[in-house]
Amino acid sequence: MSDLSEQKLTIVAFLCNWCSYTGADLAGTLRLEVPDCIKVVRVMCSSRVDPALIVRTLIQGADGVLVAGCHPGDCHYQKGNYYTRRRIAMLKTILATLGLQPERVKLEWISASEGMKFSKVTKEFAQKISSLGPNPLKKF
Amino acid sequence: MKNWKIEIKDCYGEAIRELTSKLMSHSKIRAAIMLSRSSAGRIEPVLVTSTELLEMTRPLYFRFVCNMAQPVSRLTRLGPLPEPTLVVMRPCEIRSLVELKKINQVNDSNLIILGVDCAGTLPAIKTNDCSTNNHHLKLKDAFEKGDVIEGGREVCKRCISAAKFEGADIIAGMFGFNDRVIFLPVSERGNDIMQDLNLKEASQEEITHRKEIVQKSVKIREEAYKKWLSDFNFAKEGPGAINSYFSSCKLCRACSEICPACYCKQCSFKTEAMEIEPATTFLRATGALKIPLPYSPLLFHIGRMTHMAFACTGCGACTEACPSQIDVSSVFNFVAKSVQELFNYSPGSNLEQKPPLTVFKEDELEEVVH
Repeated sequence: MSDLSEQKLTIVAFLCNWCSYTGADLAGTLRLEVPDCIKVVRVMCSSRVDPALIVRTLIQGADGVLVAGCHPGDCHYQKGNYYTRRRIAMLKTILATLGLQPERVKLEWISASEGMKFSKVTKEFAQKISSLGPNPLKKF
Repeated sequence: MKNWKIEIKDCYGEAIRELTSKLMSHSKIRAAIMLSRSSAGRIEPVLVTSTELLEMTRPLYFRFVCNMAQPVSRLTRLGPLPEPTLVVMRPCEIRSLVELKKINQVNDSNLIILGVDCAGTLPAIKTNDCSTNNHHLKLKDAFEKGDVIEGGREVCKRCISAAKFEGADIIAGMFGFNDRVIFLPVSERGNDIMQDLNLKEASQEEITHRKEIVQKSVKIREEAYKKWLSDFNFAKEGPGAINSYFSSCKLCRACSEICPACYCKQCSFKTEAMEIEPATTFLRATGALKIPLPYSPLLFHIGRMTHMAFACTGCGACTEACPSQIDVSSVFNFVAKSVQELFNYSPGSNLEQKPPLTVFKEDELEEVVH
């Protein structure tokens, strides 16, 4: 991912403690490639991520935000990820309405056993952000 | 249910005052909440318990003062009022009240809501071009024609929910008339208190006439709404557009203070969560070369949208509060529209419809995840 580090892009990934963070851990154990622009923040549940916090992350320096949680039905707290889905849908709608590139926010379900998926998702997302270039919100 | 009417001489407020006075003297209500003129000349929401002081009330004051849902919420947040109280509210205020009730910020068990027909209000900031009498005539003119009052606020001109009174007990109908106000009970409670007041009964023709003019009014505003929607397009203009929209924002947060949907006692933008270690901020400024302090107004405004856009009833209080005269409500209404469409949510129209971020369906929005 050399082109990414040249552009000095940053992606903040909010990973749920029970599934996605463990999935990311597995990716490391399996020595799978994960772009180094990914900065991980562990949260107890993906629904813990306030949409306003994502806005803040985007305005205060990130080029992309990934939120990852357990698959529907697998949430450690039963229904947290369903609320996350509604919140991210709302946030993306707000960003799209204001012309602020909703594709810089990504929601993904990654279970504890999906180290491969974590690697794949982060690589694809980094590529996507790289093609979008630096986040214009950072200048605001 | 029977409908009633009260004839007026000069202004519609007379009829509301007379009704309130009659309800008080017949012990149907003990108090009323409406706008009133203070000895200093300030128009303010008051809780009035004396029929003599009703003279000072201005139930249909022609300027925007506040969204009445906010003072009513502050008043009843800790519990119901001890005795029956009449509240005079415009449709947007009733919708805000219903939204607040859903989240237990209002206890309305002793509130009787008198919804008033609304031909819009003028901006809160006084300009030199007005004398009160003149505006009474303009208001009469607007009600007769089914139009919005001359010089009315932009939000009022494009208000498509002006004839929606879900949550009201009685409707005070003024559309179509310049010499009377007709009272239409719409709930059991509203019907009960309107009995035995020695009022004249409104005829079926009068009810039909009002209905026709209301429909005309809705049509006029729907046209304005469509035009406004087509003029407003951030998505096309790119990220710079919204930033320059808020370029004169001073982050005073007056828009959020006056917003009935922003009910939190402690706004998250004022909490410790927004305080950052000086060294961290310094490091960030080193990387970004320059950062705004304490943070970008966009963060506050978009952040606030994520917290309340679904509940925005389009009352326009934020625009009136803004000391920099930014048309805050236009952009909030615009965003609120798309969020409310996403969840098929109509704020304030149905008490049973739960706020969209507190419920979910297992199979929905699957296109968001990819």
